[in-house]
Amino acid sequence: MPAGSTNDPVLKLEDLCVFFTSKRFMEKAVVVKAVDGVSLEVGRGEVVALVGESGSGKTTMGRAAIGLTAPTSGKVTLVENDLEVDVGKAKGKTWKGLRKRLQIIFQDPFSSIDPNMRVYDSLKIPLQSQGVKDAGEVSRTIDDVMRRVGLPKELLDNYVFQLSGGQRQRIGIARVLLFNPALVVADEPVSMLDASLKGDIIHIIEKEAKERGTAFIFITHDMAVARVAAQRIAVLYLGKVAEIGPSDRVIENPYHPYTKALLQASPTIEPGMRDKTKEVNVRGDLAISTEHPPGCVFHPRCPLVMDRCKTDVPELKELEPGHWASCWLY
Amino acid sequence: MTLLEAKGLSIVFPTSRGEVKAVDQVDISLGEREFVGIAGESGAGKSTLALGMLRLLTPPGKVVAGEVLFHGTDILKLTDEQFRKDYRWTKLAMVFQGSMNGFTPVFTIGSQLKEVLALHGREASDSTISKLLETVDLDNSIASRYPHELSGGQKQRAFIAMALSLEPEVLVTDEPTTALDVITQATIINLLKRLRKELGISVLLITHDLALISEAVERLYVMYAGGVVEEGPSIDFFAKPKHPYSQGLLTSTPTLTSNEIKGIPGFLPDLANLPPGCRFTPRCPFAMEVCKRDYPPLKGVGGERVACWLY
Repeated sequence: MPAGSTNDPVLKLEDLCVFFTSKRFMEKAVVVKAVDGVSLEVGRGEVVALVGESGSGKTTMGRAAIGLTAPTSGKVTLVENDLEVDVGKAKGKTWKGLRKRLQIIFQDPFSSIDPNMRVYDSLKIPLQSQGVKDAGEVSRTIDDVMRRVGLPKELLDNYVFQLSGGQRQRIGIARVLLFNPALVVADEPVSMLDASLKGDIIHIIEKEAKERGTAFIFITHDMAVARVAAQRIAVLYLGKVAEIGPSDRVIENPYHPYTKALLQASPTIEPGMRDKTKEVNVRGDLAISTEHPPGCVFHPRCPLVMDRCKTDVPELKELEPGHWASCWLY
Repeated sequence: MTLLEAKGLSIVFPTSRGEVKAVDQVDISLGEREFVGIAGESGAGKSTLALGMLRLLTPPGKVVAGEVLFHGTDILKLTDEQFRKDYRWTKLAMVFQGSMNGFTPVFTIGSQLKEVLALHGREASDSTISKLLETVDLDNSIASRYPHELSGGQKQRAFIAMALSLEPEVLVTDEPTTALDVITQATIINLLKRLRKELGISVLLITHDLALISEAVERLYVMYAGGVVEEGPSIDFFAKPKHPYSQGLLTSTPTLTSNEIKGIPGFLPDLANLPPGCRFTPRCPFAMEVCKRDYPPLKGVGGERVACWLY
């Protein structure tokens, strides 16, 4: 099987590229390659984490996966009941139908939900706009999603502004679950939440994936969260997949120097560290530049850089079953 | 020796629903050359506490009780002018999460650093600036750059350089790495550890991230709903946290070595309408009758102090 593929895929990204062009007056147009040739499949009921620093392209990839950003080239396909829908080209009725199948949970529950709306209305309006008119069905569906996200029904009469951040994020998830979507992009769903609330949100996602077969693309910058939340982790760097594989293997046996650096830098409970300096085995910062370095995009920061890395682009190689990395060391 | 100390500090915010007790009779101390952490989630009062201690509270928030001693002087009793002249930035400096956005976009980093030095009558030469930048691992060329040309980590480091420019004795950092990537975060924490050693300053690190705190501090306070629930040396705390909230917070912190994560059921109580007893009671797995009635005082348990009726 090719890199990033899986059994029973519900969403397929094939050689996906998303480029942004910006043109200033009197200047040459510049192209930013946010996603640069990514192939990835997400299986039914699977949670795949996209991990990377800011500027690695993970959010753009998530948006392209559900059709919110059009691919520059490559293809995004939703596979359901043997029917394939080209997400990137969908228009009109197909597009509206897709909105029920592909959903997104946003990072910031304070800006993604209208605070001046009652909780009930913020759940009712999406249902109605998708043609669910029967009052009984509306209220049954709303009760059901509230139960699934662990919120008491009494909150339905409250205004959104009266809720805490953790409760608002649950409303954000409840809205997504209204139509039992095929795939949900969860864009940093827990990074704005307190530690004591993160676990519950991750558990809701786990349960939906297991019980209803909903697939999730879980975007996070936190390797530890990725390990808990996802079955597979894809590490992105400058729009490319540096490494992809089963979560446990990527964390316990990382191949790519960038994955290793991310893991090394991740804080762990380690009071003995206080007198030591943490090793940071990369140079400088991730530079969002319009021109990617030639060869391996990571080579200017890589501690193990070789001559070959500066000229040739490494392909993803399978180094153990289902575990791929793109690095000339292997 | 104790350098900075808050004693019985209480800070409230009057609202239409009544007074919100953001910080309630908190004692905190920071010794000379000590690295101390304050951990807690949103609403714990940790940032408000720091702002109160550095006289940076903005109305309607106000200190209603307690004192803040720096070398034994109650700095809350000083006039604004006295405090501004002799303490702010010269003895007590602070770096916030968003500090890196505090630079003016229209002047170079170097000129903004010079301004601080000049305003306080210090030598503001190019060589002082380059020395300052060197202290925070930044290249000399940064001085001639504008803020937008720097990455988040570079800006945050430049801001730390600014905070250090007047050689303060205390550096308070409030979530200094929260908006930054993990690799940048690690370099900033390394930097704070090194600065404490090399410059002999005391550092107070406020963060919600227990893992981050565990790698940096010697001693920590855990706050919940405006009060300190546990305090002790970091080695003792992380070996076995005593307060049920601390225990919950630790198991809620995702780590690379575990596939499991637990949360703490329930939500923070309404700070304008606090329950009479221990504030953690509604979420506590060990809640007893006494917890609902009386607020537990901090008691010595092992090498730590814990506010819980279990002990």
